[in-house]
Amino acid sequence: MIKIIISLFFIAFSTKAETIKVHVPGMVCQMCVQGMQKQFKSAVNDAETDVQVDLDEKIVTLKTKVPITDDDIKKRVQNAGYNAKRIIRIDKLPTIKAKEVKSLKSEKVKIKKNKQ
Amino acid sequence: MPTLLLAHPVIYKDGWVYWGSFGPDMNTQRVSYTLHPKFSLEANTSWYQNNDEYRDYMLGANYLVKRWLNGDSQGNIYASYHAGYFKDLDTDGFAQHLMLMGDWESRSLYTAGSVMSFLYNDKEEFKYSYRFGFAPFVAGMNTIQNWLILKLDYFEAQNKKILVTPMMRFFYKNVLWEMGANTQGDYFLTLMIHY
Repeated sequence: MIKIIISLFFIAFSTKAETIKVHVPGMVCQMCVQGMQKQFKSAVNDAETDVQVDLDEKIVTLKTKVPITDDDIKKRVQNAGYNAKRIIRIDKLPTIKAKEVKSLKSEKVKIKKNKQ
Repeated sequence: MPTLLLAHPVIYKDGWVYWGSFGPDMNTQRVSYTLHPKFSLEANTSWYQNNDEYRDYMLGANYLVKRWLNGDSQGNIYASYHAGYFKDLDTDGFAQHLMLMGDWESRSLYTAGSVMSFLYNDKEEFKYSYRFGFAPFVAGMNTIQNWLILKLDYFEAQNKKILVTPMMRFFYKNVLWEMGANTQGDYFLTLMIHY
């Protein structure tokens, strides 16, 4: 019983949603969009809203419902007929806290004053 | 045989395509399934009134020979082989289609060319097609993309001259439709749905 509870606890925390941006050169048309949505369908809640393709920037933005490895992302992009060049996990980017922003701003003011 | 559309014969893994082209004296329909991002299986049927009421039923495969992925564009070379049964006013029997096709497209320009060989009833006929198109505006993910295309076809068995067909293409999500009329006044409508 304890094992089951621990497993459920582990699953609950491991299925955290994540935002991932993937750079995919060569995407030019609506068919690329459909291909990406189809390949990532099982990793998101709703393919139409959670798989966004920016054809100008060649970026696929995923809001996943389950953890997905870089290798899995690369494989799915290949199945769509393309190659993933760069994968960025937005939620894992270092965040700047409000305090740090304040201190950076004051630093900037100091530099300005010193220049004057 | 006035119109054989040039559209990606291999799409994404597990992708289905229905494609139909209809005119007053011809129609072609095909269904394909992409097993692998480089390979698809296809069933198709064609009817051409002006070619002794030619009708065929074919099964075959399409192969993505090479794809170039550049920053803002892509190029592809495809090869296809289809075989099956044909009948016309005089005879019936085994028929084969061989096709080699190349395309290049960006978000605002598109060009494609193909050569297709029809082998049936001890005859071998070749058809050459070329297309050039441009998009008057670049549409986003959820808007209709419009293309203006000029198509050239040369099929010696049918016409001794090059047929010029101005046409329009619309692409919205997984549905593509085209319409045009050539210099002889033959019009056609095409519908493609991929899933």
